[in-house]
Amino acid sequence: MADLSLTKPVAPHRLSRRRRSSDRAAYAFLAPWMTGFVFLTIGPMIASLYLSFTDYHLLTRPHWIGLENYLKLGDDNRYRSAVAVTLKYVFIGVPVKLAFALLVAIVLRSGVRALAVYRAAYYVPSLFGGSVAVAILWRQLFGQPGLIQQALALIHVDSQGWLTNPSTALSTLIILEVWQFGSPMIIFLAALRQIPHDLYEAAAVDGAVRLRAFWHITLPVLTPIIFFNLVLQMIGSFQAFTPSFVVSGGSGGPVDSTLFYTLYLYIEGFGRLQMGYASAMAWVLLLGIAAVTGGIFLTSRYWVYYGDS
Amino acid sequence: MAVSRRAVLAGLGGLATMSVVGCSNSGRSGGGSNSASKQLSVYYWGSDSRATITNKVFDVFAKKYQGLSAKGQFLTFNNYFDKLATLAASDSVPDIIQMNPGSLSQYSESGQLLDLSTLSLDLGDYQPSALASGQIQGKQFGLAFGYQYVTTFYNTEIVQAAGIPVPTDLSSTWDDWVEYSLRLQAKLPSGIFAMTDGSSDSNAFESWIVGRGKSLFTEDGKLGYDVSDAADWFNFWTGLRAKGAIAPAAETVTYIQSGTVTDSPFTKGKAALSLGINVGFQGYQQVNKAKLDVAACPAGPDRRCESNHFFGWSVSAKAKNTDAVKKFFELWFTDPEVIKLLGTDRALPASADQLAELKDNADPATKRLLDFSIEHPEIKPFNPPATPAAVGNEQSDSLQRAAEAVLTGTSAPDAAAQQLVDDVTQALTS
Repeated sequence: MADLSLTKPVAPHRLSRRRRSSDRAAYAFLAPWMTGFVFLTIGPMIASLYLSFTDYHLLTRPHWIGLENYLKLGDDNRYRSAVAVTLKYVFIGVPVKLAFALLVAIVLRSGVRALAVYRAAYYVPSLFGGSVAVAILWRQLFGQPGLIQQALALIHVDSQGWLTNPSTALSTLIILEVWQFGSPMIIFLAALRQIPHDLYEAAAVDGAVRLRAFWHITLPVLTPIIFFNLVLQMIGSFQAFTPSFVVSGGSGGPVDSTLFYTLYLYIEGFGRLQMGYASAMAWVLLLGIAAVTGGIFLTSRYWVYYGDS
Repeated sequence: MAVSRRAVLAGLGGLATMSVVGCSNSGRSGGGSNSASKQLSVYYWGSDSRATITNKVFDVFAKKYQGLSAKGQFLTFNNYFDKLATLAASDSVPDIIQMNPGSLSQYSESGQLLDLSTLSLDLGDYQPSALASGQIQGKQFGLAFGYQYVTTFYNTEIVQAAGIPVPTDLSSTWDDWVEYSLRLQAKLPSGIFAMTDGSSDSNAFESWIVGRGKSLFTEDGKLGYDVSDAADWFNFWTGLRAKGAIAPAAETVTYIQSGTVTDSPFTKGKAALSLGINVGFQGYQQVNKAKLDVAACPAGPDRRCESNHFFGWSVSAKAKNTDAVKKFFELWFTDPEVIKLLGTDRALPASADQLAELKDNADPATKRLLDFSIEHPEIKPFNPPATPAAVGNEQSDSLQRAAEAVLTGTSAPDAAAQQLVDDVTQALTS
């Protein structure tokens, strides 16, 4: 920074040579990432778009079948249940997770001792929450016989295994999702600190109690942050895979009750080797996520308040 | 200062990225076709003990053939074929691959496998019927480890305590076993059940179907059973549950989902009997505290149950060093030291001499299993028609879903049977 001094005018040709050389350096350092981006992201995406229009059994050559894969999706019962499971997971899991993250952030802001310790402790699940180890832990907790079941038995509540019952299996995965509230919580915490204190003081003068202050000051001021978190978490949740894969042993069971979209895609692609069909599924997912994200953006003008507008 | 802090940081960043990229390359596994062809890559699923045994065989191979070696990669069954598919897609199928019937058809049809008759193997007195189990449309795409078929395992402690010996007559039918299970159940303490629920076990289901004089698939690649066969199957198990003679549904679902022997109610000492592939016996005994024993599987009205499930080696069509593969197989199937190492971990050897030889030095569990097959020379495993390539492993996957639906009360047995037939038929035609 200091070498490009603003006080001393620099000769134009020196600047451009310097700029050219720094451009070259920038590209050189970008090269590893660019290589990965082109060959590992863009390339495979284009390939999968092509494959989605083909009958491609993984071990044989693809041949063009037009829209057939996309049309087949509509008649596929397992596909429909995968969509239903995923929508439930996203539309219940994400709002609950954000509400929980906000709640914890507010509690932590209101002057807890050893704040840094709590903040770190609450963030930890987010670090390894999506990992295989935690999914296995979940199986031990909610399985049959599992810790939760045994604990409930102590207070004479008779429960079936949570993960072995199709009507509760998905809820346990949603709890796992909510438990990883750390990163939205950190963002909420930072945002809460940005709220000018005089707003609350003015409200107090007007006689607003805590809950009213929350509804009329905290929440509106936070809406851009909620919006931000909502978009990020939605996109992430739609793509969830590990919990279901590990907890159900890769089958999405019991009875397809935890068959996430991505898991079904994986089963079709790598289990049944129907790569063309799986590619079509992936593109529908992309379009679906784009549509939901677009929807959130469109509605945002009605509920997101930016301080400068 | 000639070097700015920013330059150092940027450089470090660049290095870190490069090392990550480098790692992901060197971390690549499999890749039999592009590694030195002196080393065979071998890919298989199984337990830790199978890995130990297999590694010892690799040592014998390397010692006997200077300059050649074999390197294994082993996984649990649940992820095995998914990973194999990714290896196939990236053109790095290992040289030697462990296969089951569905995948043998899938991979041979798409030209991924070598016709092993081109190797002119000399396998001693290896039985022709075992050889035939690895043939698809006249070509030798698989080499079975030997024979394996469904049997009934039982916990001798539970059975002896109840004082009701298990049926030893090989012609005992499914009905005879139900009758036995109910008599046994009456003597068992609460919380212990006569049988584990086998409704999701595709091998047991196949025994049920062959017992009715049918097969899962016909020679011309159509579905070989109908909805009523499957409905009877699910009703059989729900009937036993209604009478309190099989392990609870929830524990069965847990076992289905984990797929590991240690989660079976049988292993936990909560059930007296369990259907299982004969060669699983040793594995069960290792994790069971009680002494186990083996009996025949229930027979059907038309036929006994011992259909032989192909389980064996295949070779990638792209394997470079087929001469080394030939040496490896001849060692695997005929070398006395290797035969002893392998025992019955994968199959009963398809050689009468080897069976007798093994018996002399076997551990008690293996000895018991060998004795059972020697005591019953009338058990002649037969090869069912091959699984059509389009089905792959969908028969067993669909059976598992249908069984889960019945176990969790989501579907009635008849509806689950219809679903099973629909799913497999759909796979057949897709």
